[in-house]
This record gives sequence, C-alpha cells and structure tokens, in this order.
Amino acid sequence: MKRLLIVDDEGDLRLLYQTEFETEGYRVDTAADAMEALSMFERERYDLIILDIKMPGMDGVEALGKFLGRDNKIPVIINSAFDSYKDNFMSWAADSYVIKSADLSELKQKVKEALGESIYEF
Amino acid sequence: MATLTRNKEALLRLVLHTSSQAFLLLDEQGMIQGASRPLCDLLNIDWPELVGNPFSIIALPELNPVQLSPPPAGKIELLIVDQAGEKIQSDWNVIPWSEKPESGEEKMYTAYLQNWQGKPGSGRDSYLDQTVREHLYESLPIGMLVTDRNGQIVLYNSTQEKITGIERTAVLGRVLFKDYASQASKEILETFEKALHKGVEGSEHEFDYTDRFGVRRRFKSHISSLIGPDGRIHGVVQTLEDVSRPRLLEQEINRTMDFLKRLLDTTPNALFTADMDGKITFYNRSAEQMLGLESIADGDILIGDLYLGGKREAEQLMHYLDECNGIVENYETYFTDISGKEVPVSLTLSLLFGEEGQPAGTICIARNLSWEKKLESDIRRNEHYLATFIQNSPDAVITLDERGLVNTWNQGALKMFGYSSEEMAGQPLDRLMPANSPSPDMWKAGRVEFASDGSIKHYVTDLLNRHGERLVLEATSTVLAEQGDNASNISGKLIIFRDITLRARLEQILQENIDDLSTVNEIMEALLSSKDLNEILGSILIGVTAGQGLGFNRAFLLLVDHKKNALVGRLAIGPSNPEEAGVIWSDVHKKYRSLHEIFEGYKSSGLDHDNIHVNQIVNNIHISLKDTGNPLVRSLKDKKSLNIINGIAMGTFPQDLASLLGTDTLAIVPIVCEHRSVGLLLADNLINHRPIDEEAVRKLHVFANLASHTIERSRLYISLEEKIEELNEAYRDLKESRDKLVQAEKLSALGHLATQVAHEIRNPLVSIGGFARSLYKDLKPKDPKREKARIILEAVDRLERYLKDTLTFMRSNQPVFHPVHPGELVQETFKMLDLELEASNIEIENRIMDNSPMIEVDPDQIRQVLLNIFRNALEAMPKGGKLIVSSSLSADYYTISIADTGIGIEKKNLEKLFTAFFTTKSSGSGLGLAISSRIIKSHGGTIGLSSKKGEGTVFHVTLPVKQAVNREVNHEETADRR
Repeated sequence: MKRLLIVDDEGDLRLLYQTEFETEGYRVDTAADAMEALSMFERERYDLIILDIKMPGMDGVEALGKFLGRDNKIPVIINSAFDSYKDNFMSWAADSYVIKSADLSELKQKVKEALGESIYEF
Repeated sequence: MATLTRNKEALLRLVLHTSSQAFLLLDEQGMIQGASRPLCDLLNIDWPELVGNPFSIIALPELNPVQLSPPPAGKIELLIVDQAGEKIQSDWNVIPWSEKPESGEEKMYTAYLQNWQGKPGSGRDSYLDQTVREHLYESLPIGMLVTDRNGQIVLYNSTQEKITGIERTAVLGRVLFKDYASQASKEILETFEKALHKGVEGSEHEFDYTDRFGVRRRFKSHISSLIGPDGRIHGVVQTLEDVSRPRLLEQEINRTMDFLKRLLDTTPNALFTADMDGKITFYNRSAEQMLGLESIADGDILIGDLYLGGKREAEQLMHYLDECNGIVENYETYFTDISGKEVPVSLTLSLLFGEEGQPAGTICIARNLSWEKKLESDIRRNEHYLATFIQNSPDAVITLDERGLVNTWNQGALKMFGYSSEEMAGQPLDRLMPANSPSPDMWKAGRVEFASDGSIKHYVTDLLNRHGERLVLEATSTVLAEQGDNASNISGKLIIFRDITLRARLEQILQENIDDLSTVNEIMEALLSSKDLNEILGSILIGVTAGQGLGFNRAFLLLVDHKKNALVGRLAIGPSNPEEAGVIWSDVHKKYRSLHEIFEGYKSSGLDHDNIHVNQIVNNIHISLKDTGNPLVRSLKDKKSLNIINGIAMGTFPQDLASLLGTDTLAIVPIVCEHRSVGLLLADNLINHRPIDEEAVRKLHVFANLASHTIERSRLYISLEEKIEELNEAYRDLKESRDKLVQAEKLSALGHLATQVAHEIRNPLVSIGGFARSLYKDLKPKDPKREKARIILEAVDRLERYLKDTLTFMRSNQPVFHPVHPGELVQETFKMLDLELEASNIEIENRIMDNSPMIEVDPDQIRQVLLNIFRNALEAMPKGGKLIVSSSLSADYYTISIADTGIGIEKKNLEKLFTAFFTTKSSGSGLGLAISSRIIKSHGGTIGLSSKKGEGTVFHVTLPVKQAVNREVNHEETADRR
C-alpha cells in the first residue's frame, strides 16, 4: 500500500483528503506545516507528498526544495489555492501543480500518474 | 770826613728836605756835605751838585774875599750866586758842631741862611714849602710819628692816623708813651726810651695791633733818633708799616700752593721735582701710583733710582738739559717701579731756577706709555694679520692711488690675472680690459668703477687675464678717503675681485634649462588645450622643428600598426630644400612669435600644404617589425634612442631608407606608452647640416614623451567616449526595464490581491465542495438529500469556475509560437551576454546559415534555453576559449549545436545534469538545465549533450520546425527525470 504524506495548514481539508485518499486505498499521513512534514518524512518512508504552498513558517516552495534535497526522486505534487505559482520555476521542480478544487478528481489522477499507476484514466 | 751810615744818611736827607730853614752842612775843610731843601730851592741848585763841593761854589771868591774853608764861625755877610748866576746878598750864621761830641774831632759846621735879598720871588714861599712838606708827609704810605726831645709828638701823619685810628689832634703835643703804653710792646717802648735819650739807629720790631675798628693787624715799626746838625738828639722818628697785607698774601700763596698741589695730584701724568743732587723733593699722586712709591717708608728717593739706566742715565739727562736750554721733551725711557717692573714712560724735563737765577733743581713730568705701547703692539699685530690676510686671500685685492694707478697688488691678483705686483706697480688697469666682449646683459664688460659718494659698490664685470681668457668677476669697490672727509679728499681706491666665472657659467646653463622648461611648458599647455590626436601630433612636430622649440629642420612621426605588424609613417613637418625652408620659416616667423601662436596657426590652417613633400616621404615609410636589423625597429624594440651620424658610411643605417628620407644623419627616439613602444620620432637637420649633439637628442626625448602621453591620452579618451555611449545605452535599457517592472509591479499588486482573495475563498470552497461530494457519494440516488448535496456541489463548481475565469491572472507557461529565424535568436542571445563576453577572453562564432528555415518557437523561452546553455559554456571556460554555435537540419527537425572548449563534464555527472537542483557550481540553483529541458519538451523537442573532460562540451537542441496545429501542448507532462 502506497503511503502518502499530505501537507496542508487547513484542518478541514486535511480531514477531507485523508478520508478521500484512504477510500482510494492509500495510507495517508497528514502534517499541518512544513517542519512537521519534514520531520515525519525523515522518520518514515513515503511514496508521494502532496504539498500546499501557503503555510505558516516555511512555505511549500522552500519545503519542496528540502524534500527533494533529501530524496530527489520523491514524487511531489503541489496542491495549492494559488494559481500564480504555477509559473514559479521552483514549482516546476514538482511533478505537477494542481489548483485546489472541490473536485478532487484531478488531484487523484495526478497522484496515480506520479506513482506510475496509470497515465490516463478519467 | 765824617762817614754817615746809610740810615743816617737817609734820615739826614729827610731832615734836610723837610727843614724849613735854609742851611748847609760843611765839614772842616769847608766842603758841602749837605744842603737843605729851602737852600736848594732858593739857589735853584740840586743837592748832588752841591755835595762834595766847597762853599765857594756859591760864595764865589771874587765876590767874597773871605776864607771859607772852613768858614768862620758866627755871622757873616756873603754874596752868593744861584744857578742862573744871579747875585744874592745874604746873611749867614755859621755854627760849628762835632760829629762825635765826645772826642771833639771831626768838626762840622752848619751855615744857616738867615736873610737874603736880591732875588724877589726866587726864594720860596715858606707857606708853599709848608704845604708841600705836609703833602709829602701825608702821602707817605708809611705811618710817621716824630717826637721832640721831650717825647712830645710833633709830627703824626695821616697814614699813622689810619693805622692807629688815633687822630693827630688827639696826640700832637702829647707825650708818646702815655698813649702807646697799653698798646705797644715793651720792647718798642724801651727802644723809644733809648732813642730819645741815648740814640738809636733804625731799630725794627714787629707787633700785632688791633685798631679801633677791631681789625687785628701786624705792624713793623722802625725807630730812629733824630740827631740835629748840632749833634744832639732832637727827637725820635718812628715809622710804622702795615705788614698785615704781606701776611695775607702769604696765606693766599699757601692756598694757591694747596690748589696747585691738588691740581698736580689729579693730573694723570706723574710729576717729580728734584733738587740738584737728584733727591726727589716732590711727587704727585700719579707718580705714587705709577711707581708704587706710597709703600716706601720715609726716606730719600733719588731720581736716579727710578731710571732704568740708573744714575748714569740721570746724569746724562742733566747734560741734555744743559744743552737744550733747560728743557727736554718727549724723552722715552723706562722707569722701574717698586717691584722692579719696567714702566715705559715719555718724559718732559725742565730746570728750576732759584731767586738769583741759578739752577735750583729739576721738574720732570712722566707720561705712562704702558697702554700706548700695548695698543701699538696690538695695532702692529693687526696690521700684520691684515697684511697676511690680504696677501693670501684668494680674491684679488688691489689698491690704486688717486690717479688710478696700482699701489698694492696681492697674491690673489697675481693668481687671477697672471701679472706680478712688480709688473703692475704704478700701472693703470687698462691691460685687463677686454676690447670687445660678447657678454650677456647681466653684466657689462671691463668695468672698474667706484661710487661717487664714497659708498661701497658691488657689481659684476668681465676682464681679461694675461692669457686673454675672459674671467667673470664679482667686484667690490670703494674709495679711500681721508679721515672723516667726503670723497673730495680721495687718497686712493680699493677694489676686490672675486672669480665667479664658473658660477656664471652654471647660471647660464641653469638659465638655458629654465628656458627649455618654459618651452616645454608652452608646448604642453598648447597640447593640453587640444583633443584632436592629429592636431596634437602636429603640434609636437612643430615643437621639434620650430626655432622657438628644438629647432630641428625636419621631424617625422611613425606609429606601430599592429594589424600590419609594421612601423608606418604618420605625420611629418619640414621643408624639402633650403629655399623652401627659408620661405616657410620666414613666413612663420613673420606671422607668429611664440610657439603658442604657431600652434594656433597650425590648428586653423594646417601646415600640410607646406609640407607636402615630407608627408609624401612619411606616407611611404612602411617597415615590418620583423626586420630586426633595421635601426628603427631596434630602437622601437629596445626602447633606446639612436643618434645616427653618416649612417651609410658607418653601416648603421640602411641605404634604402636613407634614400627615402634623403639623409643618413638623424636622431631616432622611441615613443613609449606604458612600457610598450608605440612609435618613433625622427628628427634631422637636412637643410642647415647643424650637428645633432647628445643634448639635442635628450631634448627630443622630452618631445617623444609628450607624444606618447598624448597618444595614450587620446586613445583613452576615445575608449572613454565609447564606454560612455555604452553606459548610456545600458541606462536606457535599464530605464525601460524599470518602467516595465513598475508596470508589472502594479499589475502584480493587483494580481496579488486577487490571488489572496482567490486563495482565501478557494480553501473553504474545497471544504464545502469536498465534503458535499462525500455526502453526495454516501447518499443513495433516491434520497432527496442527495439532490441537496448535488446543488451544493453545483454551486461550489460555479464559484470555482468564476474564480478561475475572472479573478485569476494566469500566466501561462504555455509556449506561444512564432516563426523565428534561428540565427537571429542566437545573435540576440549573444547580445544579452555582451558584457560577460567582453570581459572574458572567449571567441564566439555564429555559424548558423543565413538560409536556415524559420522555426516555430516561443522566442522568449528558446532564448532562455540558449542563454542557459551559453552561460554554462562561459563558466566552463574561465581562461577563455571558443564558443561555436552551428546548426543542422534533418527532416522536420532543426538542431542547434552549441560547442565550447571548456573543462567538460564528468561522466558521472552526465545523468544527473537535467535534474532539478543538481549543480557542481558553488553558486546557482541547479535548475537552469531542468527548466530548459522542460521548455524544450513543451516545444516537442529534445535536448542532449556530449562532453569530454578537458576538451569541451557540445549541447544539441532539437526542435520541430513546425508545431503541429492540433498538438496539445500540455505543460503538465511528466518530467524526464529518471
């Protein structure tokens, strides 16, 4: 079972995501900020990270650097309410950039792709 | 015959004179011994005529037949004659008496004339007599008192009255003693007594007497008995003489003596008096001090002891005195003082005479010459020093007499001019004068001058020495005048010469150097005022050739051309032949006076038209720098000046070049800029053939340096201008960017706000929608709640769409395709790297063919890719190298290849190259290539490379020439990371 680490400062959304992705069949850990996420990442092995950008303390872009610094092969999907960061070169280092939506289908699809599970599936 | 004592005689005369009776005194023989005044007056015959003659002289025998020698006693009538011979009838009474009544011897007769007739008026008026007599008494300065035989005062003259203060009326008839008793001394009284009774002949006493006025006086009294013709004492006569005055006089004399003594003591000269035996009788204080005499105990000092020569000298001196009429002056000798020290003295000696006129002693005045002698020896010593000094002085010290002829000529003058003092004595200074001399204005030739007011005059002149050499001399002259006079009493002239020939020469050299400096300065000023390189170079050449400058005939300027690797002629100035020279330079001299003016003239008109020929020459000068045998090239490379003289003959100058220039005698000076030779300055004197000496070459150096500075300055100036232009452009670009940035900022701010808003709304929307969906999924389709959930979802969806459409400013990283020429793209990218390329030592080559097809790309993005690759290449070549961009076309794909000669990439790094955050550099994000690969992918292209460590790297960027119309470019493609 693939393990996901989802980082978002909104508690409601963490709950939502956890529920949804567990329903999809993943094991999900959540972190409220980058520091927490990093320390968890150090302790456990994850297969994919879903990363918010706007967070208190370290933001998602910097965190992205840090994650990749530790393991530059780890798939990272940026899931942010910001759309402008799409063009930020740092965000290009991520595997994909998803704009938060109530419709989680895109996010789920990207996860699958990043994990190499399927390329096109809608 | 009775002999009368002197006093007696005097007294007798007195009595005879004062008697009122006429009588004669006769001796036994009848010779007249005396005659009274009345008788003398009567007969008008003087006493001396009568005395010693017989009575018969007046009583003539033929008239008187009577025996008259002696005359008979008793009364007798006689006929006597007077002086005139008049006969006078007269009655006489002859009374005999004895001189010495005791012995009865020596009979005397008194013949009284009692009556006379026959000469009326010849006899004297007895009243008159009386008066005369009285006057006589009264006028005596001596007080006179006469008493009769009883001591009664019968005569008391007025002087007596004055002396005693007693009036005659008070004493006449009174007996003397009574009055004198209290006053007169006992002796006098006794004498009086004796005179009255016994007879006294002239007894003298002195006594003090206080007169009635209380004035104490001293008197000398003379008492004598008055003895009548009968031999009996008839009375006493006392004369009183006031001798107080002599006493006063004596006091005065003493006072005067004291004064004199003090005077003598104050005189600085020593004064001695000595008696005829040589014993010193008096010496003044100066004498005491001079010889230390005060310490001598009482004793006699002989003047002979004082003389150095002792007694003998003293005796010699006495002889001198005799010979010289009793006075010897300025006799120089030595005294010995008490301690035996010798004192030099100058003596004036004189004889002193006594009362009777015999030499009574000597007086000697001695002047101490000690300090005079010292002074004298000092003066002599100083004179000696002065004379030695003058003789040995290196300066010429010459004195002339009032006619200007040489008086003294010292050693210095001999050395300076070469004439001895014997040769010059009595000669004028004419032989030193130069006939004509080309001396500078600073001094006039041949001046030998003196100030007319007697002051000291300093000046510079030149004179000739014996060998005809010109000497430059500093002269100090003055006239020598008599003491305290003005120059009208010139006794001679003094002139001192100091040789400043060497100094003058040095001054001249200095002046020339200063002139040089000011020339250079003028030139520099002129040069600094111009910016144009040609103008400046032209000015330099003018400086080299102008008379006011270095005065060379011709000058050539050659510069190095790096491209051609040769020395090429650049500019020249000078005439090509003497005629032309004359014309050009006379024109110039006419028109312009200073270098400055020449420069100005050159600037405005240029002298090129006058210098066609030399410029032709210079334009033909082309010497390869490889020709190291050529002296010009050598001078250039060695940075050394050369002074070529007769180069062809000496083999130091190539024939062909000499032919071209038209000379083989010239100066070559390199122009050095920052230790590199950039050219040469050549100068010659083709026209006037003036030899070029070391100094001229040295001065040429100055100009060469000027040239180098100006060339350098000019170059710097040009590059500065270019830089400034670049900067201006960069600034303009920057401004543009800034404006864009500002614009973007504005937008961005707005966008930022919108983004914030969107973000804030989105998060809750996700919650709402997410959970609504969850609910929707959990609810059964028939459940009416499902519919509610669906509505919520729809609403959320709508909101999300709205957000997406209107509030977001999405900047798409989607490539916007345009057809672009790849070559241009490369060129533009190069331009972006302009500054970096310039600073590096990298050669770039754009080999992209002009006939390349246009490719459809997003130009910004592809430029970004190229920039990234180029930067990497640059960084791989820190010491320089080559960057070559080429292209190739195959089917529908266009490949751009970027090759560098850098350090290359290690094999192990190759696979990670495009990985994000991978970098081998110390700085940089490591994303450059990652992004580049993303861009290329989004273009549908590929990027690849090959590299060899130490040799270089080649990147290949392959792009489709045309983008497929329906190709959906999805920027979310998976990264090719693995």
